[in-house]
Amino acid sequence: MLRWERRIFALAFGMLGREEDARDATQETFLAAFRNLRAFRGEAKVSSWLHRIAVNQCITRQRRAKVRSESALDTEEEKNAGRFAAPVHYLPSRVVEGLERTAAVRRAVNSLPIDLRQVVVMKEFEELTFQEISDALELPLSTVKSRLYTALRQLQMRLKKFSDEAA
Amino acid sequence: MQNETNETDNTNAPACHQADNLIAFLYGELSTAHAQTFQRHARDCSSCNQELEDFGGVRRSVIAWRDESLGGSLAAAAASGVVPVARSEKPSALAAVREFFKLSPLWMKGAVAFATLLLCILAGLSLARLRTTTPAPLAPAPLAVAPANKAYSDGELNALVERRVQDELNRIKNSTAPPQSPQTTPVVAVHQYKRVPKRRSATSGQVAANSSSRRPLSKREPEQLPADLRLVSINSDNDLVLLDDGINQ
Repeated sequence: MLRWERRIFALAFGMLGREEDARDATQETFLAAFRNLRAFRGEAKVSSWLHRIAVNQCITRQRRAKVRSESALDTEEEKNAGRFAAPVHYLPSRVVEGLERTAAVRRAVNSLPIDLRQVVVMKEFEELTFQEISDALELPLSTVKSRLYTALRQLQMRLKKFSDEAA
Repeated sequence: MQNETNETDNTNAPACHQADNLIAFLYGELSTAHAQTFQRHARDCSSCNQELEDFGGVRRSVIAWRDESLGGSLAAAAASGVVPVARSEKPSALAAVREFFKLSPLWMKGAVAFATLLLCILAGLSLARLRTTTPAPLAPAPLAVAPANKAYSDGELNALVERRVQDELNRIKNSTAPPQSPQTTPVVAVHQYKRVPKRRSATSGQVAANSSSRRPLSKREPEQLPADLRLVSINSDNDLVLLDDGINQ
């Protein structure tokens, strides 16, 4: 189980964008997996099964957060301000630029629709292959690729908009 | 949500039909032959060339965000125990027991504590029982007689010998004394019939003199004698109530 925790945490963090939420979602994922262990018939891979549970947990948490009108991004941005400390040889202007760029990427990823976001997170955070993502989400390989293409295109457009605003 | 995806699909439709190969090439999941083919295509296709450059920039930004945020988060999560760092060394048995008790529910902790207590009690009882049944160690038993190396004075020795001799005499006297039967004496004493006491220790001359001095029985005495001795005549046997008759009836 331990070997899956890091990957599930990465997935949850990419999906939710907040460390606390990612921790909670990771714990809930393994609790749900433990409770439904009998329902796992061994037809799918354990990784795929766990990924589905984790994605469902993240979606559930996001729905709850929407109901409570939480602004996860703003609080996370404030909280992570100290974490993104740059090396000292960076110029302050470049540090600020880097922090803003990071915040922009996070916002851009979090604003993606959930089905596009989960593909991006599984590819970039967990570094799964297309075939593994296809197995985990039970989607055709071409669908996974087209979703990733669409996600990258939307991210590129939003980041370009950010660059234009910054300029 | 599906509508959102469809909308984005419409606005972000791939400009080239090689979009799938472009994505696979971007992430290095294209075979060598297919990669070379796509590279030749990308040299001629301006949209694919441009998208490769743009998507590459997006990927670098996303990876930078991941490395910055997830690296710290993973370390913090590992410190908090949510995402433990891979352990290279095997945990000790004590740590494993602690982990077991940490993860086990309350009822299991109680059951284990009760079982441990019970085991201790049983062990104590068996130990106590073992101590009571174990024969005494081979220590020299106290002797009834005085040790041989004890020195006696003459007076003590004489007193001991005298006491021992007295004990022996008493013992012999008790064993040779005839048992007294309390029934025989009164029977003879009640009736007028007087027996002449025998003198076992008398000499043969005296026996002869005694026999000559015996008085012959009168006529009535032989009839009286069985009555005195409570003897039953043969004729009266039928009058007896036998035990067998009672049982047979």
